[in-house]
Amino acid sequence: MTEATEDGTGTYLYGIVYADQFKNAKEPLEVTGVGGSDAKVRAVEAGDLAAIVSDAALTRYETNRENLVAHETVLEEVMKGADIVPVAFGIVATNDEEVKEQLLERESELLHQSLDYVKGRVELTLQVLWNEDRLFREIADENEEIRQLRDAIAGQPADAVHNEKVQLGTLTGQAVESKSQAEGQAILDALQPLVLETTVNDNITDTMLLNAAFLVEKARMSEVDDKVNQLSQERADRMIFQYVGPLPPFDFVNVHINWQE
Amino acid sequence: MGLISDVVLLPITGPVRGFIALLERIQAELEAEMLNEGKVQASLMQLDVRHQAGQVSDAEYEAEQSNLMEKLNEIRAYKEELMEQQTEALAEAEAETGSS
Amino acid sequence: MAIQSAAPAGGAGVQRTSGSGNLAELLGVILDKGIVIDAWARVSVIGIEILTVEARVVVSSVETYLRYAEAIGLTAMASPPNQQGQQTGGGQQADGQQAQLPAPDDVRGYLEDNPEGVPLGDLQAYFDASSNDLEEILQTLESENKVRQEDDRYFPAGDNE
Repeated sequence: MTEATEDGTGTYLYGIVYADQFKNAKEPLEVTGVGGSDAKVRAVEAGDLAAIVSDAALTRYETNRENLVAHETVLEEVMKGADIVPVAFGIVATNDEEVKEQLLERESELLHQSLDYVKGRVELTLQVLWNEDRLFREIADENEEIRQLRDAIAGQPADAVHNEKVQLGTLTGQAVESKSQAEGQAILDALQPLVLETTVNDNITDTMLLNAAFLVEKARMSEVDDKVNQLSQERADRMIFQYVGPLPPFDFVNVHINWQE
Repeated sequence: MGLISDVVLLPITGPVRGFIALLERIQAELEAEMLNEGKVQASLMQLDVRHQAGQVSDAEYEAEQSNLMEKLNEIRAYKEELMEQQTEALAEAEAETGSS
Repeated sequence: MAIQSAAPAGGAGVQRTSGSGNLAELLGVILDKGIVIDAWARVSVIGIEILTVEARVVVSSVETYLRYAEAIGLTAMASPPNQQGQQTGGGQQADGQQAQLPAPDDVRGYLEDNPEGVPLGDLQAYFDASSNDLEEILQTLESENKVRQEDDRYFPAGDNE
């Protein structure tokens, strides 16, 4: 299986929906799929299930802006009318038949379960980052040991105080971690009553204090919006909030299909 | 950008030992930051924040984002290549020992 | 090292944005999550697990600690005078990130939100302002009977609204 050249045309997968929900959308969807302007988005049906697909080259798809955004845009378009169980980026079946038989029919039970789980629900994500100036200032204010070590080192030539610097940095690192943990938890506690499920992912940077995904009833989205807004305002100047959604519930559908032949 | 083009792909010799060696190699390169997707993602995140705060112009933002995405793509492609080599090696080894 | 200073106009809160408008966010969501079908993915089961085994958060390393030490070192420059510790070291860099003075109404508003009383240090942290500036504002507010002081905490005063 070599990439770099096309091995022909396949069926690129975006997600699974109940067929009757998808009928609400005009087909083919007026959105360009992954792989360029020829890739019209349509459905492959089996029973009451439908896979959202487009014709696409059987190749490895680069994780570039164009492809990633195309994949997500298709999903968001479908989400306007249907609850969707999303497929990861870059999954290309050999052809429509395979999608119908190997995925929709063979895995019907699993797919039904997943669809029922995401019915009427969407994912919202929240990433909170420290305003770094403020973070370190707070740490200094709250930690006498750190202040004293800082002041003892200040103005000394770098090589003379290398060990002390490492120690200061270690203490600071610990303070960053414990502050982040506490503040992150406080935000989660405030949102818990409003959401169905929470997945906490690893922080991406060392001054990120929260990287969470929430499964939310569509009807409660605006409540969550209000709460996140409030939390953000309370922390203005201390933290930066990045709030994204509605997303298809990627973090809440972890289905790994591996056929042992 | 040729970030990874001069890295020699690990030759696979013997399935299990090769696999462990592969993991060790990946670990080493993670630490050497060559294969660290997380770092690229962190840079992308920080770029977003700087852009939102007005510290980076739209043009700079687009350019830098493209660079980082290309780097991410190279890293993933390299990992996939490594894994494919390993999968093939494992399959061959199985084919050999399978005849009995 | 600090990558950003005070966030833009804090009072605005935060807007929810779409996934398609947020590439950095998408990366953490649509890659390797959701339904994954091995036979149609470009990499095997084991491969995916390896792909996602990553040291995302910075692993403890000397380099990281030195970076933190630098960041904390910078706070010495910005220390308000009533903090402990001498201000040694060259004044290489003034605190260029000084925010403008808070409006007296904002200060009073903050006190109203915190009726249990607020020490000066907290006001400094919250408004990113020096103690001198804040004390001036507080004195003005006290003379207008909008604020009172008890021990070393400040409280909203009066019931004008």
